[in-house]
Amino acid sequence: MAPLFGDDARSRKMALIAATALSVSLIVFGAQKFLQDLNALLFRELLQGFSELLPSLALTKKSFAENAALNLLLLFLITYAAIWISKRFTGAPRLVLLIQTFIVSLLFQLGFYHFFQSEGQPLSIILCIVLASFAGKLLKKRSEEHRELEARQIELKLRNSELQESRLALVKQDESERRLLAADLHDQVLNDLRTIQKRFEAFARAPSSEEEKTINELLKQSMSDIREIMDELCPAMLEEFGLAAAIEERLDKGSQIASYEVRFQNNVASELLESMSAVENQLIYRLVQESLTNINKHAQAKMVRVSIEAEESDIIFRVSDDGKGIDPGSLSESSRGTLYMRLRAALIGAKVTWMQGPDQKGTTVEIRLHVQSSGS
Amino acid sequence: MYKVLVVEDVAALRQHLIKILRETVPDLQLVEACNGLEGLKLYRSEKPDMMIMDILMPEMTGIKAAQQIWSENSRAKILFWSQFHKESYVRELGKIVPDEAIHGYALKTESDEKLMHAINTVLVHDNSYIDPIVRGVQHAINIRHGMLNESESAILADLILGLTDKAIAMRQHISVRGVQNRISSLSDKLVKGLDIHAKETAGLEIFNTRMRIMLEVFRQGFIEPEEIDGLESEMASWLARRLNFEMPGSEKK
Repeated sequence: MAPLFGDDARSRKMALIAATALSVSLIVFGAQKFLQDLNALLFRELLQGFSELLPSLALTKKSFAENAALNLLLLFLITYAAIWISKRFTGAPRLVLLIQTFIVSLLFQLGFYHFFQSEGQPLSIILCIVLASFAGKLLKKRSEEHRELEARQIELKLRNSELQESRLALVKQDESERRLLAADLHDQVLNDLRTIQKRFEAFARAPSSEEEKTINELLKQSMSDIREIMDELCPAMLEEFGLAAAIEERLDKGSQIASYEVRFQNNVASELLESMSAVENQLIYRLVQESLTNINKHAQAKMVRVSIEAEESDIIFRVSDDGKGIDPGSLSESSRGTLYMRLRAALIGAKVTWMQGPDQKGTTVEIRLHVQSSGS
Repeated sequence: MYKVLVVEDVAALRQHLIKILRETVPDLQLVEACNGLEGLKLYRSEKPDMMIMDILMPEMTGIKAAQQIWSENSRAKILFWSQFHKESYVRELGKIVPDEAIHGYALKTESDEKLMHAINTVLVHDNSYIDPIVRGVQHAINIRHGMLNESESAILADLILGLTDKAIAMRQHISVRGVQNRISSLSDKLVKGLDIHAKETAGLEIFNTRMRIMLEVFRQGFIEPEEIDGLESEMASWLARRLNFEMPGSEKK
């Protein structure tokens, strides 16, 4: 559309109403010829009420055609108003306003009659108002659709930017995890291997069974370190025995480090858990792992419970502790750890919620994953 | 003569394993495979007495292969030879072992002597073998005169606590048959075949093996009365962890 009225939405809307009003009034104006007699009759009938006010009314001083421009202007104005009203209002208010418009139009017609000797056109105006109300309705529907579309577009844009942001954040985190891994490899494994090399050189010069034993121990240690690192990267339990077993293992491991009691409960049929994709498995595992790590770091818990439940087509993973608990205020959207968890969860359409633990103690982290119903 | 199927993808480790196997079992017929799928096929065609298998292998992991084999023959003897040293791993593995099977779990990182012992235990003595490093649950039971090995003393503790075969199997990550075999070897050591002797002479079962074992436990002083509380609280925490079952009165400590 040409930017006739500037390109902001408001003037575009006005232009649209004006264009519609113009076409409606032109159509009615075109039909004026056929309506002329009826118009005159009706106008006079209506004028009866005002006859005492304006005694000179009985006369028609000028024909319709002579005041065409004036009449067209009136038609246009009334149509514009009617369209605007129909767009804005519905039901009874709309009807009242339209009737009011008609009454205002009558006053105008009286004025025109008085000042310009132009005969009125009430029927045409009624026709205009009726057509305009339909047009207004149509326009309203159109603009609603338009608005909905816009809203959807905005939402889409927003989600896109969120996704972009989460991707960036995750890439950053992946990067830092990789650094951690490199540091692990360097500090543990490489240093052990260096030590082994030195010891082996010494052993080659002067073999002793004691030295052999030490070298053996060192080799064993670095093997177990590598396995530890590998397990961090790609948990063997998850691969071999599935999510529930891997989560339980994590729980046990955490309890060994931080010495709390643990309880694990899985109430979900294994088929349902197996229906989860590999990515879902990985991410849920990481989320639970993160929750447990947080407990080890901050909670000072005595008992940690993990449960897996099914609720309709959701699988819910709950990690509860009876530790210090978290101040809900500190759980703002911006908290980094929770942000990463939320972002990871969003990748598979899961939701993470933090709440107070059972018995008003500690914290419960709830991870809710929607799974496709069976068969898919 | 024993026929043993060896499944290991790393050639050097496979050669080493075979060397140890030959030293342990003098009269050996050997079948080799280098991944789980091949192992499964050879198991079906060769029907060996025992299978020694790695877990992480290409094509098909040892666990998948074992699951398949056990579903076809629940008495198959499988000794896993793995580098995974976590208790949870052995626990999950224990869940897929059928009640009738005898299986073992030996660690690659441990000594050759231990591997030999594992092979002997499973193949010759028909007993389950789980490397003590991965068994996890540590029992405070007093082992006298080096008479009992670690796995036997663990079973003995469970017997004292009055656990059923199924519960012991779950706790020790072995099969029910593995438990029963261990109990009978325990009885051989402690009761010295008294019940079998009595049964052969009298033609009916006279003694209850488990009760005779208990009798010997107290007569020979395997366990002090004070130790029992420790054993029981250990069991309570195991029950709560594994089965979510809180023992009455166990919370107050």
